[in-house]
Amino acid sequence: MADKRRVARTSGRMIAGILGVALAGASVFAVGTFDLPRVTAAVPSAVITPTAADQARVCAGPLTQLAGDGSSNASSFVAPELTVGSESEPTQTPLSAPNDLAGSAFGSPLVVSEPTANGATTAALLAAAQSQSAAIDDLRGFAASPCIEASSESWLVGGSTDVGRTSVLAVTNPTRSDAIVDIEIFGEGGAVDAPGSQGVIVKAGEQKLLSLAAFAPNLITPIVHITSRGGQVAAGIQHSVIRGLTPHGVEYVTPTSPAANDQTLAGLVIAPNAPAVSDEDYDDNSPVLRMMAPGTEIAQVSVTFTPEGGGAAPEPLAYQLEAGMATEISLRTLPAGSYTVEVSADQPIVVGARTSIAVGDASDLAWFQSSTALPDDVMIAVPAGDTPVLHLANPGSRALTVRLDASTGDPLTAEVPARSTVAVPVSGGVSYSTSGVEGAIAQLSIVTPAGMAAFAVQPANPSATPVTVYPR
Amino acid sequence: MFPRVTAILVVHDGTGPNGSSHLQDTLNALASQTRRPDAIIAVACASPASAKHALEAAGVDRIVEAGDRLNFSAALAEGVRIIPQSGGPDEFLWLLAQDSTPAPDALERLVGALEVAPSVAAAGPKVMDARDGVTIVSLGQALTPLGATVELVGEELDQGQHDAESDVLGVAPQGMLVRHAVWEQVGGFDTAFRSTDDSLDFSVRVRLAGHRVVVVPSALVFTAGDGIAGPSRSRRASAYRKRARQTRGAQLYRRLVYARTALVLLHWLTLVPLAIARMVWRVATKNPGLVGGEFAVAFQVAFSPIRIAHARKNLRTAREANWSSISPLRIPFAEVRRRRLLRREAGAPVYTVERSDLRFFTGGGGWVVIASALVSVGLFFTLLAASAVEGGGMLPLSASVADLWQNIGFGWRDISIGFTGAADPFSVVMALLGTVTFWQPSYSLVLLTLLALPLATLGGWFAATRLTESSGYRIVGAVLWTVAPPFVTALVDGRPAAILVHLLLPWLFYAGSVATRSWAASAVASMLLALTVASAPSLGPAFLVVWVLALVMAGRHIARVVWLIIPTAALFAPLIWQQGIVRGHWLQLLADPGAVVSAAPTTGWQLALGLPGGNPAWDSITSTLGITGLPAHLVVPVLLAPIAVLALLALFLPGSARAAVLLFVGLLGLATALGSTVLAISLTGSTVVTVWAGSSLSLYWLGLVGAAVVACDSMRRTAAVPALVVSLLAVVVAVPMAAALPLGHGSIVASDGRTLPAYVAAAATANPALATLIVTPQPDGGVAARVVRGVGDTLDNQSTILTTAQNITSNDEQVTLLAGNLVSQGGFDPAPALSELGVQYVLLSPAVVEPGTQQSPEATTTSSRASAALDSSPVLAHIGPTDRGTLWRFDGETDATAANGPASPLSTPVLIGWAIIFGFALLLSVPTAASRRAAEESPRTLGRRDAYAPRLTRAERAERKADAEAEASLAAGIARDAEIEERHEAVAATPGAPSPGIQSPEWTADAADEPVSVTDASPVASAADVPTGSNPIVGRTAPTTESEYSNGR
Repeated sequence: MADKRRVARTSGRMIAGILGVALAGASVFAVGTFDLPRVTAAVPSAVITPTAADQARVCAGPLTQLAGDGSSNASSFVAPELTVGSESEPTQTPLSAPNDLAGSAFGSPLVVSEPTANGATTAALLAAAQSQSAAIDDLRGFAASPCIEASSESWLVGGSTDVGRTSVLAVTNPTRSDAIVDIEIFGEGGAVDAPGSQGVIVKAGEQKLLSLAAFAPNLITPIVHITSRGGQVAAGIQHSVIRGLTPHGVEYVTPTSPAANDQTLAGLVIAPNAPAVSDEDYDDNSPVLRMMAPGTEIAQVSVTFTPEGGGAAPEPLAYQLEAGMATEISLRTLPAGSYTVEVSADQPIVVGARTSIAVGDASDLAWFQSSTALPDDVMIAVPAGDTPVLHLANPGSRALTVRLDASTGDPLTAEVPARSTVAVPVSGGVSYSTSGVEGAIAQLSIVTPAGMAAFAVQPANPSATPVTVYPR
Repeated sequence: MFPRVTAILVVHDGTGPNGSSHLQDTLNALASQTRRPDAIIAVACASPASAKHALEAAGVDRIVEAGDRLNFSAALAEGVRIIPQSGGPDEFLWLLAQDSTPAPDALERLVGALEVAPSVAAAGPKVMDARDGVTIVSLGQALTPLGATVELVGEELDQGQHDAESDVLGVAPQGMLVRHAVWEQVGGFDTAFRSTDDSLDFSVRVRLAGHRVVVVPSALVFTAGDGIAGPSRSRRASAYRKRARQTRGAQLYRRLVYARTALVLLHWLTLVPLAIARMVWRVATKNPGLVGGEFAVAFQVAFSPIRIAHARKNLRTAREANWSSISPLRIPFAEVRRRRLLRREAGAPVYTVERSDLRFFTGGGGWVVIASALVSVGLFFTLLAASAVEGGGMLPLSASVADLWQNIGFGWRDISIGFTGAADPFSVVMALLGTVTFWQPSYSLVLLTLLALPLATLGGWFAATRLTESSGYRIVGAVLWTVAPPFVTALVDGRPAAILVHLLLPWLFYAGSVATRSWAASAVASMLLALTVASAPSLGPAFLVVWVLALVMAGRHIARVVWLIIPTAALFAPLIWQQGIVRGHWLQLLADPGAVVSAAPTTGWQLALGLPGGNPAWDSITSTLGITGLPAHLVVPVLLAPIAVLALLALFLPGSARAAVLLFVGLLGLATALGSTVLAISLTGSTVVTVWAGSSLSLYWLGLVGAAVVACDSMRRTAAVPALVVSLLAVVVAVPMAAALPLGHGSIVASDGRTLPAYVAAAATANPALATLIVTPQPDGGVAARVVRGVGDTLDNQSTILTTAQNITSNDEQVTLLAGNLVSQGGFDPAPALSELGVQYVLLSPAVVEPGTQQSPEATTTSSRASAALDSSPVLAHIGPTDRGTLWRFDGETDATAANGPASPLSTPVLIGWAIIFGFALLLSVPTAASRRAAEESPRTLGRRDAYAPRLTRAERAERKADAEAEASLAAGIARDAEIEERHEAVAATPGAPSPGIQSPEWTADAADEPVSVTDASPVASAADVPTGSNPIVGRTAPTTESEYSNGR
């Protein structure tokens, strides 16, 4: 009797045990393999369109010639021509430039400003640009630059402090508070340890001129990163070349777009009358793409060229960029013409490009910048010059119909097909209220008998785009 | 004159609760009396026809029919009313109920007692239990000086030991024989009494009217305990509660009736305060079921002034003797205490199961805990000198204990801009934790981290004592619990809630598994459950399933199981009301409390291994060793498989039921973990975070380890080697995971207890209302914006209402608009918004970097844009970079009242409700001497075959009890003899001293109920009735009926 009960109990336990093991196994298998539907909360967020600010553009002022006494003092010699484009009457406020030994005899740095209506979410359209031809002993050529917005961070890709090359860094503080400026200089050998480059104080309403060579002499490919605290600054480099004893051009280098994985540079002009280039040494008459990965990782970079107005595209290039090393890629093999250059990398990079044009026996150079997509409506001020060309690259998949209302003269229209670039001949000294350019990348190039100049048209108010705010 | 006896038989339904024919038995017994009553009057109270037929068939003389179920007193009054007026002293009434079956010679002997002594007005039989026929139910009753009823003999095996009793204060109603004339004189039974104390009250009035009341031990009346005459003898809990209620009600009623007129008001005023005090006492003595009755009777008595007035008048009219005349018949307190002691001694050995020693240190448990503490010191070496800890989910706590406790309940939550709502129940846990280190609440989290390992070992060890008596296997349980992967992960990630869950779970198991055994265990488990679920609300559904199953299995102690969930429900009630009922956000109730910490994604297979956040430690080891693919994924499963094998093996071994339960609980935990990983409901910045699966995996691990220990226990010594191997392998799995801490890969670091820059913290100590806007760039280029008040985030002041809210509130709109414009350059004037929100500082935190990636370029751009925009803002002054980001100060005037919200009318009721429920639980859980004794009567382990107490039949139990009683009363007898000797000597030594039998100071000193005036001559209690130097009832052990139901559990 007792035995029977024990047998029954034991077998009952066995059956229950096997069932239990099967159940446990099945549950674990189910947990391992089943894909339950996910319950995902919607992240609350608000896209805030900032209230528009009063608009201000800082013009760098006249070209200067360094005093040559080792100091940063310089003197201006000719006033630049200024073109201002606006919807109303902007005010022009001169800023002081204590380093300019000529005082304000040939003009001075300027702030062009225009108030925005109270509470408006779209800022007033405002643009200004200046151009200047130089023809003195040390300085010859044509230079043009846009008047830019002050910012706390700028990347200047351009300049050189090699023998015979002069780079004057102009830092202008149009704000009401003093700016503490840190200047980081990168060269072909990496970041330069430059004493005195940190914590440079630029007083409110002043322009400070600094010789780049004083911080980093004998740099062939400098890239300058300017950051400011307190006030914000507009920075630029005046780059001039003397070969032997002959001046070989001058140009303003204006800030390129901030570091990003993808950079686009529209309207790189390889002039048909390019100067002769030495095959042996490094020659800064050769067209180059200068770039750098400012991060800490090696960047794999690929560069594609799209010729303006169609045609066979040159072979794409692939490079590897060491972090923090300013690197130049020669574009000598590119046939003459205008190109849209797209650089994409797996790390954030900054880029700029330089080309040269023969001017008689000598030559002049131009620095091109990458820029970011424009909003629908922009104001473009074309500086005085003979044959300015507006290069409009459309990286989007939709054709753009662009209308340019000139401040004087007839309005222009242009059709920019998808993924192509169009050159629009515009008039010097005229401003264009442009519409229908949303997503386009623009660059202005000007070729005159005195030389060549170029600058990118950067979208206004980069710090006033709508921003997503998460309240959690 | 020949006496005439009229029997009055009160009939309700005529049958007992199980259909037994009590009425027929009684009628048969009446028919077979050696001295038959001269008349039988039956009072049929709403009786069925069958009962009436039975009465008619038995030849009852008169049947009085009543429409209602009258109580005994009222029914008797009905019956007596139809008897002609009493002719003389020899007219007797014999009071019977349907279930009072007299022995054949009962009436003869009772009549004999009344015949021989004219001073005796009422005689009671020896009332016996009809079910076994050998237990004395009642043999006389008495009062304590405070007026509580005492059965002189109760629930004792009748061995003739009390057959010498005679004069008593009162007798039981069953089978009482009373002179009709006296009945009329004192007004019969007071109908205000239910079935308790009616006869005692009558006897007291008889005594005060100058008559005697005696028991006749030779006359036997058997009662089935239907609850008509005398209290019901049912063993059901409801009957127990009813008896307690009626006893107390009768006592209070008598108190007001007997009291001196001047004192009635005083007694009336003390009714409710006393009821409250007794409620507390009832809870503390583990009788929570009697709490309601205490209050109910206090009010019932308080609001029956007419009955009381009537009863007082009745008493006054019939009274001829003084109160002091009955005082010798009262039981003095010393005697009450002595009886209680004797009862305890007599009862103690009866149900005892041999409970083994704990063997904490001798069995090695203590040493494992110490070893665990040493390992903890090695792992958290950097925290040894820390005053606070941060990283992961660790935040500081509020600065003072008062602040901590202000963050609980319902009301204005000063989080972000602030809102009115329910606090997370977790804030209660944090308040408790912070109170431990009251001098610096934030230090409690350091202590928690440092002590986590030894506490887990300790908890695991104690939980294992519920499963095995073997010291070795307890250690196995402790070790396996300590090295649990979810626990180690929680320590490395710095998740205070998950750590607490892992530390609480073993104790919850320890107490919860024996919740049906005692109220103390149930109360402790209920509070632990509340703390556990507060720490991990995602465990709620799993516990709910376990609770429902426990309810189904609970049996007669279901109330203790029901109670388990009450504190948890109370704690969550405000949140459930606000989140669930009002807003319908039921799923959001499961969100993890505290800081939102993202978790690494994990697969279902990893969950099954107990890994809640992926397996980075072992992945890096396998990749270093060059193992890839499937073998790499199999390392940990192979190392942990033995635990699973052992756990499943337990299903095949004796005692498999507990393994099955444990494995079921484990699978519930696993299912909860899976559910957690798909529940992405907590929001922080631009990311959504899933519920942390680790807490549920702790439950899974509990089931697994528990079943493994059960297997070891069932295999006895055979399992020694497997258990050792399993433990070692589990330790091997945990070592690389824990190694992240000393190697510096853990999330937690020592901190100074700040979450804001020191500059702000210093300002906030002066002005706690100041707010800081924290702007954090997100990987997608957006910014997260939060307003933080005072010294910053604290762990006790977080809200899942906020972290799970998916809609943009008006508060959010204010903040987003302000932040969006502050990080942009534009024409927005932030001064009014900053003023209104009370924001004095703006902090730009370092950008959020997703784990395993670099800072995105968008975040970098946003950072510099925000920095530039804040720099350019004319109303903000740049302060500079700090350890928490870049700081700006707003120099304008801010609204100092921004931090104060409206007071909520609900906040006080919520706190009071919590205080009552948790006070109740605390009182229940406080151990008393009785509860400790009760615990010692139960085995340490659960469900072990060899631990079952043999089931005893009622007769066997009674026999054992009687043996014990006999022993105890023998001892008491010896003590009494010694005492008598002493008293004799004392009396002899002081001539002229009053006789201690009549006027003993200790008998009267404490009397508060009745006015006691000392008189020398007592008309009733003569020297013959009261033995000199002693009192009439010393030496009788009388466990009251209460003992059977409530031995203090």
